[in-house]
Order: sequence, then structure tokens, then C-alpha cells
Amino acid sequence: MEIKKLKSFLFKETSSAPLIVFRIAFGVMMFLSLVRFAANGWIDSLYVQPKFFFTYYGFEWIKPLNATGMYIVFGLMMLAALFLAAGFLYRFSALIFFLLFTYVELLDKTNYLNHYYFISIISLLMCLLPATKKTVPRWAILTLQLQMAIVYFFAGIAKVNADWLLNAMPLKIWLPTRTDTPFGFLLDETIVAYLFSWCGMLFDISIAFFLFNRRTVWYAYGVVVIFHVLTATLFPGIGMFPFIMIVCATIFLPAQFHERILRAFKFNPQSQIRNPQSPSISTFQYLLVSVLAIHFIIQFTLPFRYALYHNRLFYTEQGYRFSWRVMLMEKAGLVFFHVKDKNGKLHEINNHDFLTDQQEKQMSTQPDMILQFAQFLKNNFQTDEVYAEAYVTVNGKGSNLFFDPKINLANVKDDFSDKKWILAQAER
Amino acid sequence: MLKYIYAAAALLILLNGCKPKDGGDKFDRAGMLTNLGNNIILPAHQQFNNSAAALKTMKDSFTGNPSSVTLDSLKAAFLSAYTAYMKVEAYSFTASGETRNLNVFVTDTTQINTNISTGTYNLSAANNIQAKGFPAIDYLLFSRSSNEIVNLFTTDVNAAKRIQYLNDITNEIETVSASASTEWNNSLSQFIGASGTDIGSSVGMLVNDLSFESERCRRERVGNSLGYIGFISSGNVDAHFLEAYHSAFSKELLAANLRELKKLYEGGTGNGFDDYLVYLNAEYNGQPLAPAISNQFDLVIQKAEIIPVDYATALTTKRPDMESLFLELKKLTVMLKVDMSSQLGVIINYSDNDGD
Repeated sequence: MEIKKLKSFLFKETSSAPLIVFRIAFGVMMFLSLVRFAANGWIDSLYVQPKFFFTYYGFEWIKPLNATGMYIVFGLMMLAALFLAAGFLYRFSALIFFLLFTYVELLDKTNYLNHYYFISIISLLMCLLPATKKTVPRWAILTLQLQMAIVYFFAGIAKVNADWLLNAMPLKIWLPTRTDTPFGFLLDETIVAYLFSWCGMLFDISIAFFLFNRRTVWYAYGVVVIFHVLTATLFPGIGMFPFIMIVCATIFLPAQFHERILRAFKFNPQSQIRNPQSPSISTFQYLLVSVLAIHFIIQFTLPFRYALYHNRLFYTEQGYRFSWRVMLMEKAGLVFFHVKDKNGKLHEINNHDFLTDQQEKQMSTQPDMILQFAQFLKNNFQTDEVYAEAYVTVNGKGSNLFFDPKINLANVKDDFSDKKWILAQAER
Repeated sequence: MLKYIYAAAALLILLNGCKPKDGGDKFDRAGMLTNLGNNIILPAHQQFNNSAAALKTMKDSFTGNPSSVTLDSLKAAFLSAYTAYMKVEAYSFTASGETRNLNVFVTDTTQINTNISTGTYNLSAANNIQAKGFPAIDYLLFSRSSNEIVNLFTTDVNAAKRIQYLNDITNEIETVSASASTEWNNSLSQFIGASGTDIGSSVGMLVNDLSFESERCRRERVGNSLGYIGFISSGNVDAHFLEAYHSAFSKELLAANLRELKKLYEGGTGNGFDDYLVYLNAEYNGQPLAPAISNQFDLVIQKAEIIPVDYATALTTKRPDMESLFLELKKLTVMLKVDMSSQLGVIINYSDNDGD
């Protein structure tokens, strides 16, 4: 009985307008983001200039192409984004976009951003959704809604920690530096940092529930817009993320709204559902839904994997990525590497000889990247001893040794086992 | 719930409408920049420009009549201009970005001698960056005894060409110092106006410059000669890596540079970064950060100056003192580059990129 209910709920044919608007908006948004990316010279600075790349564990075989190759990859990605928006070769374009985008993201950890991960997931999901049909089963729209909800919800529970809620960190550091923005005169009030911390946490945790509720969806969407415009104003460094979320959250709005939009643009969506019961469900559909179910089980589990490690998350960053921990801490670091030469003498390495500014900055706060660079130095200098004197500060606590500088990093492999050698600064 | 969020948003908008009557006890970043610009950076540039002009004058009197007397006056003018330069090196932005090219060492003596003997060179070319500016004059005036130097500018086969080279590199210093000083005069209001902390803001630039200079002191002014850094040396001490190696003036220059950095950090008698950090209640392992940095500045200045001999000699006779200086400079770099930048929300070595 319950299964039957669930089945009729998931497979009920509904208007595809929300999905079509989403597809068009997402495609256009991706195209514009890529144009911006290229115009800023980032293809060159992030994927052509670096001599060394911080690959992901298990994806060491993913290598960058030469300059021409990288530009072609981005060109094809832009084309796929436009095709996606136009609904031309839709599933194929979505797949190509997903593969190319994910390929680029896997090249270098340095450039990991939660919203790039989000784009990879959304484009993968879109390969599976029938986003050109006149009507779609409800699960198709629910999939995108659920994915959005996961982003907000996990970003919210990540904020439930002592630093965020009790010390208003890192907002207490970030907000006073933004006194030149609108509302700026308020931003160096400590109470405002607390207000923003708590409101941000409550917003992230609760907003999806209000978006799912038909009676509150429009108010909730208004809050979404206010929230993201505020973050975009205060933190221009986060780039396209707020705008992508504002656009993607339209998936929660009622279908009539999307139909009106489509009509305004002379599209002719089918709003009359001829057969609401939709009796025949293909095996292919069942397969798709099963795949999606697995996807969401992973999505709900992955952010909790940090619990398998020591709870010094902000220092070790074990289980930090792919968990929607967005703008959660103020972390800065500096690492001095030393390698031993054949005569047994230690030499300090000039990191800049091998890394770009961006790579050095990201590496200096993330232990797995420090290990990767140490292994690179080991091979590069044919040495058995590599040491790092690393200093790090989290949420303004003050710089401290990240780990014992006497540890020979040439012997430490980077894997998923607990990095117990990271010093317990956080427990002070 | 949503009603309250809207009410809060509306309240924020209303509050924005009624700005507070006066600054109150807020930290005035523009005020700090006004102080730093007017009372520290601008005077430093004027002083540099004046001493560069004096250097040019003394150079003219030496080349007009090379003798050990005119050489001595020129040497004195050179050391005073070099010291004045140390006070502007930190300010990398606007025209003074070029000023850093006046002090790229280790001196490329081979390139200098090639330039002199061929008589054709472009000082702006990349291959001449270590063959011009202060390190080149240091070599031309101090690498031999006074009599030998005078001979090189009088009886030597290349004497005329050497005079020309000295003319060109000295004049370049004067030109760059003048344009940097002028540009600072003209862009002061722009400097004060960029009072945010984001990329391109004056605070962002200055914090980056403080970090950069502190790191340069650690690495290039001390570390390289100790054989610590990279594979540039055999790993042994090598005095050739010292700044102002031929004039043996490294200690005085390092001290002058550090004193200026401290002045920039503290803002002299007015508001500086230390006041900003005090205002932000910035902490350093349970202690206030602002005095911790001031104390570290005092310590490195003391360690730099207490060494009783010149650094080239100290590398062999007072090596532990040099190493201790190196380690304290490292601490200073960490404090500026990690702690101060993090507390001020300034991005170090920013590359234009998104974050989250």
C-alpha cells in the first residue's frame, strides 16, 4: 500500500515547465560563467601555467592537456552549455558538459570549490532527466529540488559548531573588513556578526523545508534572493555561487510560474496533463530512479564521513571537501619545506619555484596537499628526506605549528587513513 | 519564521538609512591611510628623491674629476641614497613598482663588464636587472681599493665607457625616484580613497608589501648567504649573496629596511596597523597580536644591529648570531603573513580567483 502511494507520487506526470526553465537557465548560466572564467585568464593561470598539479586520490591519471587542448576543452564546454540551454542533443550535451567540467575540476585540488562540485552533480543529474519532454514524471523535478535541499541543509548543519555559533567566527573577522559596503557601518558591531552567524545557520538548515512547502515557497524564495545578494555584496570573492543558487532555486517555484515564463518567451509548454495516472512505467524509468536513489544515499552519507576521523576537522580537513562546508572558517598558513641533499645538508625550498601563488596558498593550509608536494619534492630532488615547517591559524586563534617539523614527509603517504600526526591545536 | 527574517531585513534597510552622526569609536581606515600616506610613505619618497639627486650630483663631480676625494664623497652619497631607498622599497604599487628593480641582487658583475666594454645595453631589458641600480654601483665603486677604482675611471682602456655606464645607472635611479615621488604626490587621494580591504585596496596592498618585504629580509638579505635556501648555493655560507656585498653595508641596510617596516606597521605617532589590530581585538595564542608583532620587530632590529662585525665577516665568525637573526625574521614573516593578514581579512599573494 505504502509502496503504491510512493509510486504514484514519484511517477505522477506533471508539467515539465520547471525543468525546462531550469535547463535553459542553467545552460545560460554555465555559458556565462565559462565566458567569465576565460575572460579572466583563468584557463591559462589555473591549467596552463602550473608545472605541478595537486591531483585527487585515485585520479592521479587525470592530466591536463597542452594550452591549445585546454582551450578546446573549454570551447567545447561552452558549446555544450549552449546546446543544453537550447535543448539540442540534450542528454548528449549534458553528458559532454558533465564529463568536460568534471575532468577540469579533477585536474587540481587547488581549485576545488563547493559550487564547482555542485555544477558537476547537477550536470550529471541532468543527463538522467527528461528535460525536453512536454510532461515529466514528478521524480524528475524532485531530483533537482532534493539536490538543492541537500546543499542548503548540509551547509547549515556544518555551521552548528562552537566557533560559528558561540564565537561568531569567522564572520567576526570577515565582516569588519567590509565596512566599505552598504550597511558597512554596522559590520564591525560584534552583535551583527552573531546575528549573521545565527541567521545564516537557521537559513541554511530550514530554507529547503519552506521551499518545499507550497504555502511558503514564494516567501522562501524571496529570502533566498535576499540571502544570496547579501553574501554576494559582502563577499565578492565567492564569484558566481550566489547567482547560480538564485537561479537554481527557481526549481521550487510552482509550475504555473515557469509556464508563464515560457509563454513570455513564445515557448509553448504543455500544461494540460492528459493522463495524470500515467499507468505504464518503463523499466528504464525504474532503473533511472534506482540510480538516483543510490546517488542520494551517497549524498546523505558523504558529508558525515568526517566522523570516522579525529574531530579536528578544521585542521586536518579530513572529510572536509564534498560536504557543503561553505565559507566556514578563516584559515591561513605558511610552509617552509626542507630537503636533504646527498651530503646530508638541509636546503629550504622556494615553493614559488614549483607552485603558483594560488597553489601555494591552498597547499599551505591543507595537509593532504602538503604531503603531495612533499612527495613531489622527494622525486624532484631524488632525496629520502623532506621536512616541512608549517604554520597555520584557524579563525584567528593565532599561528602555530601545524605538525611536528621533524616528521620526514618523504615517508608519509597521503591516503584516507587518519592523519594522527597533525597537532591538536584545536583542542586548546 | 519567515516574517521575522523579513522584519530583520527591513530593519537592516531602515538602519542603513540613518547613518550614525559621527565615526564614534569605529576604526577609521581612511584616517590610517591618510596618516601612512602623508606622514610615512610620501616623506620617504621625498627623502629618497632628494638623496638620489644628491647621488647624481656627487657622481657628476666624480666623473668630472675622478680622484679619491671625489670618490669618497660619491661613496658617502651612494650609501645615504641606498639607505633612503630602503625606506621606499616596501611600497610596491604605483610607479614605485619600478623602484624594486633598482635593487635586484646578487650583482651580475659579468653582465656589467660586458655592458661597459660593448657600450651597448638596454637597462630596461630583463637580462640587465642584476646589472644596474644600487648593486651595480656598489660593485663599480667598492669592489677594489680607492686608487684602483679611480684608475678604472681614468687610465683604464674602458674608462670613458665606464663613466658612461655609471652615468646611465645613476641617472636611472634619480629618474625613477623622481617619478615615484611625483606619482605618490598625485595618487595620494586615490590611495586614501581605496580604504576597503579587498583585492586592490590600499590596506590589502600594504599588508602584502609588509609580508613581502619581511620575507625578502629573511630569505634574500640573510638566508641566501647562510646557504639555507634552495639549491642556489652549494649549501655553504657565501657572502656574495649579501646585499651591498662590496660596500659591506648589508647590516645598515637591513636595519634601515626593518625600521621602516616597523614604522609603517605602527604608523609612527598616528594610527597604523597595530592600532587596527588592537581595535579588532586580534589575538596571538591568547595574547594580543598587535604588541606581539611590535616586539618581534624590535627583536629582529636588535638582532640585526647587535652583530659587531659586517655580515660577510659574521657569516664565518658570528654564524650563530646570523642564524638566530634568520630564525627571528622567520617568526616575523609568519606573524605578518599568516596572523596579521588573516585577522585583517586580507588575501596574501592574491591571484584573481573565486573562493567559497
